Amino acid sequence: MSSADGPVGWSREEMAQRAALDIENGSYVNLGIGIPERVAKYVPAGREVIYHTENGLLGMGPAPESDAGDPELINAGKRQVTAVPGASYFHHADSFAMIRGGHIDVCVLGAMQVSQTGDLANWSTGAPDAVPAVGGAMDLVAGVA
Amino acid sequence: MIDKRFPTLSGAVSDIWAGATVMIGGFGDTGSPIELIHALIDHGVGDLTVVNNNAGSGEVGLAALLKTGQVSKLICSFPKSAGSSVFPELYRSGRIALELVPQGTLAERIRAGGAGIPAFFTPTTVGTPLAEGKERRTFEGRDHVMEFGLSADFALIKCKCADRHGNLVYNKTARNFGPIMATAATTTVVQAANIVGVGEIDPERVVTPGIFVDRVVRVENPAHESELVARGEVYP
Repeated sequence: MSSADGPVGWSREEMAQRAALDIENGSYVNLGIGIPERVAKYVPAGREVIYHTENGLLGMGPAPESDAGDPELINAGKRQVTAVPGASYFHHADSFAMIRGGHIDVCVLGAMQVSQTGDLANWSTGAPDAVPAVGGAMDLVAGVA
Repeated sequence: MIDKRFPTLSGAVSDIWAGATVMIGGFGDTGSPIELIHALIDHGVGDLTVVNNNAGSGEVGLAALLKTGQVSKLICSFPKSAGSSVFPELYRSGRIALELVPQGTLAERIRAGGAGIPAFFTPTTVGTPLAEGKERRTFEGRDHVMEFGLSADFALIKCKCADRHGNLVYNKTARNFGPIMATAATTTVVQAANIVGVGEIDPERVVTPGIFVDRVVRVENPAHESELVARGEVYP
């Protein structure tokens, strides 16, 4: 939302900071694409949190140092990441068993629009020539307790 | 003796027929069997139904296969990616059919197809246009839709290490759809960066047991889609 006086409400960075405060110690957290990718760095010190990315990694760490990355180690946004000690890799059906089976505690999703009651618009603009792309968001919404 | 090794990529895909359903592993660039896809382009058959999470980028690998016109239908969850222009153009001009499936439902449909489960119920898509026309049931007070298992005539997947029995080990997040697609295809064709002797892979570390694999071809230094796209390469 914006007005003639500029953006109203929080900046992207402020949204990430605020969301991070709600992540409790010991949580398994799925981070989506966009603003959610910034959340991990704001989780208060002293909380141990394990990050899940639905393409098949539990124990996702930050982006690698430049040129130290592996094109076969990426997050759901298809950006290179690292794996922390204690991480695990798994196939897609196992990954969505974690999601749909209610094992993930928190999911931080990006969206185009959100209603007052929490309905999300995040996979199609509805424009006649738009290419719809749903990804894993609907499974996350349906599955994360 | 069981020996699933094939000497050439072209030989490993030479019996894929026009009209076949082909599962192709990969999540974007990662795990995409570029060399097998290029062999399928060279093989040239059309009217294919392709199952993949995405729709490729640039004009190599999956995007190149789409561009040739060999694919009449794509079953996928996210056909939009940075640098993806081939699919949107085909889709907007009505030259390719799209079956859009949520990523977790796609994975479970493939898993079910490989496990002999014809259909299952999931809450994913309830209340959205993607649930329209699907059979509904309520379990424990919550609505679910019925989804069908998905199987294929062929699967093309990539792994890090294999043996001649077809036991496979993957690399990091390149594992993604490989293990489930291997179970769901009548003929599973694998490109492996390394092929080792039987017994050299610790049984505790085998990710895909060889029973799910039919053909293994060695591709020692597989290309990465993102690197080919960054170099501006086009196939063929």
